Amino acid sequence: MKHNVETVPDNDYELINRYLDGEEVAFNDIVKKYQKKIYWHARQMLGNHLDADEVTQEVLIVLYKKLKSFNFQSSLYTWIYKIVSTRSLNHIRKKKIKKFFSIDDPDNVFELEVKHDIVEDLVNREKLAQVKKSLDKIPPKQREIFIMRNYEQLTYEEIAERTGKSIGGLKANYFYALKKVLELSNEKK
Amino acid sequence: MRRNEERILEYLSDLMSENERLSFENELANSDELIREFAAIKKRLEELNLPISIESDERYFAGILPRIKERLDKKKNFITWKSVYVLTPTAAAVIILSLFFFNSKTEFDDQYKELANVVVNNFSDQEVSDKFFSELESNPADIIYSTGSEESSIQIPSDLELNSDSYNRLIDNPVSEDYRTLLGLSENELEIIYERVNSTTSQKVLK
Repeated sequence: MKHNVETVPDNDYELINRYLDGEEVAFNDIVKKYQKKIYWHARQMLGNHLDADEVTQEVLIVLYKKLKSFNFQSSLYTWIYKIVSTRSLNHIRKKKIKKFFSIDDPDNVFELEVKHDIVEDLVNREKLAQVKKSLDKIPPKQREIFIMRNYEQLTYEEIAERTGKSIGGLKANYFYALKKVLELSNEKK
Repeated sequence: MRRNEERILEYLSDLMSENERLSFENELANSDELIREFAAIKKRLEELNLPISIESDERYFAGILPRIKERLDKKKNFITWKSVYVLTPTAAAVIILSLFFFNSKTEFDDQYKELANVVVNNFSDQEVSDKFFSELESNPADIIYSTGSEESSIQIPSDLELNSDSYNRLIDNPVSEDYRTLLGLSENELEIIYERVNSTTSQKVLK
């Protein structure tokens, strides 16, 4: 059987230059290369598919508009990551405000989220829901460090590069995130 | 002695100094109780681990690009009208807000500096963290995060009267960022701290 394997060029520098030269297809290649990373970071931050989808689209639109001003001072992914991170945090803020004024039935919202989820495996979906429940109780900025350290296995130096935050601040945030996770696990018991 | 849980979390967060870390590892190698606590905490944290691979519907990812393109096309048509409707009120709002902040800045700075003087010269980081932030919505680490400047570029205004111990503490210890912490607080949060600082200072003097 013949597989149709799409290859995406590995070199970001080349991709960006092609895009700047007016080659629209280079943008498509960038999207293909990074869309999953963008989605999963947003998904871990926001906890459900619908919100992650919204942020993923926002990020890609920003990317399309701002790629022309990318100055190669960091890697493309570091730059994209910063956008995902900021957009996710903003989305959490917006949602908090919406929730405050909302009359939506939380059960309906949950059903809608489940119906549209792209994770088909039930065990994994339940695990994600369980993690979401705990991470929702951690302040967003600590949650972000927790995700980067625990799920993306990044060092503090890498996180500092991506977020522009000081290593001391990141360590303190991670400490408080772990503390909160333990408190929550004590409450469960 | 501090509770082991706190020390274990500091170790896992890499918040310990080199000496503290070595001493903790030495203790960990020799204390069954600490080993047990360490393992238990690790296990509880691992409950939040995610599955190594999560299979997802590839059709979703295949459909992202066409949706983005569609949205971009719609936006292009919308942008001309948007600029007319949005630019005028936005410009007015910016002018009003600038005037407001320009007028209130001096008063705010004075209050902040006075408070910063009291806090950084009288209290350890732990005290600041434990006593003055317990009533706030966010914790100090959150606020530090939001100020976002580089560690090396910490700036202390010339009119902040720091004693040398406090100065060294702010510069040397990466956790000692209460100065920047204060910088990120709202006026309401500052008021809460200010009241508590005043009462604690009086108690210290009376003792």
